Amino acid sequence: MSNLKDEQFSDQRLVTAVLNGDRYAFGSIIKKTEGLVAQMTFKMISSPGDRKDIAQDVYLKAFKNLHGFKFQSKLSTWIGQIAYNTCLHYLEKKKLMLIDNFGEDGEIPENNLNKDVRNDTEEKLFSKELADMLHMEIEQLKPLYKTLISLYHQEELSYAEIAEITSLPEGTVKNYIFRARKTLKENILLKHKRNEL
Amino acid sequence: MITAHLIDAEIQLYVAEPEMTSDQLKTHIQDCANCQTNIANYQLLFNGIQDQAKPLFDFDLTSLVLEQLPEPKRAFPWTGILVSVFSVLLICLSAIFFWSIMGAVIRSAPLLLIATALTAAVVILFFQALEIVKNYQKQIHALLNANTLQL
Repeated sequence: MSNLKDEQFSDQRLVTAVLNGDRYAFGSIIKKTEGLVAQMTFKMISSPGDRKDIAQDVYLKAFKNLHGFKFQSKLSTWIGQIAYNTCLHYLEKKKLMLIDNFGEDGEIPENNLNKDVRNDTEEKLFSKELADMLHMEIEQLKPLYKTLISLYHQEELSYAEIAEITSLPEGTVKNYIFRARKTLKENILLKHKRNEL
Repeated sequence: MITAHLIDAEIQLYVAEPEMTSDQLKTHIQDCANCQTNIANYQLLFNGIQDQAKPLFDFDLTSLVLEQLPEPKRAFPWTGILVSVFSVLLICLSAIFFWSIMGAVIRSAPLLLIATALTAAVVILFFQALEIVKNYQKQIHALLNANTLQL
């Protein structure tokens, strides 16, 4: 609670400074939120050149609309929203899909692994080399799932904060994260079994 | 006592938020090797995701953005302009209406008095110019220091 207040005070100080003409205070805002914006652009945009343009665009939009920021959320959440919407707009323009074509009931198709075999495999599954495999599997997820997984596990945002950034209902965020993790686990197990064979 | 194994959603919930799992399920987990294995796998998956390297931009985003920020708009100096126009008008009108009186005063005034007035005017102008230069140097110094501190 105290940390949240400190952060809001710090946000308020920085925003006021920028609105009073201190451009370098905006530099501090960029440094403070750059990690979150990088996380989202890297997960949602595959082209490095476009990432550069989008990241700049995010902050130029934030600067232009900063006077409208009412401190109803953390500044980082607000900038995260801008980043998400900018990436979304880019994907729409490029006619790229944000999510997978899972069934309407949200169920992921089960693979044909025998459960007992899977459990045996699972015991040996997570080794150091798994990190690379996991990285590859995360990269193969659809942009929205990659983004949600990273925001939750790497940026350590709460479901509520992610829901605010993405304008999705909190339940949907939880469901998507759950499905993404299940997909990762299933795919890794499948790959591991294939390697063993 | 629950005999059926935990479903995937329950296992994920147990790993992410153990306090949200019911006591019945917790009791089952304690006695079930299968569920324990599943939990261990998910724990490793969670840690694996968390330990992935965070992406970083390979360019200086701050400098790129700061270069493109629009210059802050300065308010138009209406007050200064109004005062200047009013002053010039006042001087012109005084010169037109009181020219004959002023001419007579200048002609009748002793040379020493005129010289003193002119010298005083030059000295005042000199000190004002000096003040302007000093202020300018001070501002430049402050700007350079701000750049060094912030960048």
